[in-house]
Amino acid sequence: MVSGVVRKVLATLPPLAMASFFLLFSLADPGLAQESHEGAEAAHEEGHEDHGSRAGDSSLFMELFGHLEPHAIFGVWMGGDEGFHVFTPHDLDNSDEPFELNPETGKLEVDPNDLQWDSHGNPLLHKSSQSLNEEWDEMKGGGMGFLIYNINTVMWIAGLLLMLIFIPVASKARRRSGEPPRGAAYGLLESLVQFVRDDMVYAVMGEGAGRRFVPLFLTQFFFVLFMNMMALVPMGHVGGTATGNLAVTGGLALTTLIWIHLSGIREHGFVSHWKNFVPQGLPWFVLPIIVPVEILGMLVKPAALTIRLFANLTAGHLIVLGLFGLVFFFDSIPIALPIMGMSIAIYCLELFVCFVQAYIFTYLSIVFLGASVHPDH
Amino acid sequence: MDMGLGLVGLGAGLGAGIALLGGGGGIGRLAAAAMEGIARQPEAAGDIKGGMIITAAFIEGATLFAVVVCLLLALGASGYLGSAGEAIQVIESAG
Repeated sequence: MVSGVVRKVLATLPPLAMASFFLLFSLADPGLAQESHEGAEAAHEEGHEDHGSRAGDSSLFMELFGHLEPHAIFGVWMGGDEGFHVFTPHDLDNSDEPFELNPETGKLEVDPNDLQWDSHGNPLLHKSSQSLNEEWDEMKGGGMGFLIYNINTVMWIAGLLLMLIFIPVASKARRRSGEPPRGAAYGLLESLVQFVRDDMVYAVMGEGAGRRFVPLFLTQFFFVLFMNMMALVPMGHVGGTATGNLAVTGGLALTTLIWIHLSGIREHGFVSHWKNFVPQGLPWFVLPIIVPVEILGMLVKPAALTIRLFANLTAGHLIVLGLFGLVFFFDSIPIALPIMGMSIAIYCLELFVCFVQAYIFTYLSIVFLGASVHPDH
Repeated sequence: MDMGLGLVGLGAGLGAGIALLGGGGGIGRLAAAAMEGIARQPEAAGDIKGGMIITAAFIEGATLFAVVVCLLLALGASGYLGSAGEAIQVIESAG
């Protein structure tokens, strides 16, 4: 029984590892670290900022939308002056603006040598990533490391939730093999799991071939679902929309792509798998057209999966943030009440979109995998 | 008068609207055909619904490609994409 649990735990690791890998190494540039002094999710954060009234100030929308970007929670650094150490972003003094607050006068100052200029002779108000990297290297004395962003923590929490919810319920189900266990948790999970297994995997791939892929798609479905739902819960500094980031959705689509090829090669052998991309019985002069189109199609399908999930989640959050920002833009209670109503309605739509997008992602992965395992041209 | 970044915003907004025209029209026609099919043959409702959702997802994916391009333009012009935003700003201000 212990080895069963260990195997389940190990089975959840590959998608998690793939998405984390993708994210860490795409966002490892320290110049992208944002200031995180104003921590929490923007939609629930405006109350903590005391800028006074911001009625009519349209720059607050840009500030709100800036919170959709990933921000660093802590970093791990190896090498350099201090060897291996873990640090918090308060050490990351390097905001990407060339201005600095002079504590005595309370005014912003800029060192003219620090300014950079664009091609029209105007000063650039944000330092480039290259100069930030140079400052970083100077500060740290070389070495390398990575930053853990709020998105990473959201993914870890989602993975942890997956394991905490499914492993106990599944092992309880396995013990009572005679009668089905009762209880609300088991019933809810069973209906969802049965839906994914019967109406999605077996409906597309058939029961024989689909059997070995059911755990993969169950993991994908519930991982995406949990990440989508955690985007709706304000978790403060460590929260955020994990699936609203191209790297995360790209990592998930990459796992699908790798599974498509691995399972096709396992099923048909290495050469036959690639030959299956081209339909049987075609005249030879069509091949130079068909082969590039098929290869392009193979690459575009995971890209479409990525963009679909990313854009749906980000667009929903942009709308909600924009509507909440309108409350502070108008700064009057009679207008705020209908705006709150609208925001709540869009929030409910977001909840629906969570489920639909998880379903669509998994269903299309099943269709693509089924096409590679059972090509029926 | 340097209208460069203003035109970028205009293009992004118009592009998003036109993308919606195409996507919404396509999905509307799809839904109409699906409803008609279900009306003619209620016992095929399950199959039709499955196919409808999949094709709607494909069409919406294509629409969202266009929307993401518009987002990239609009947010890049205001510099909220980190290094990608800088790249877009440099490209846009050089044009």
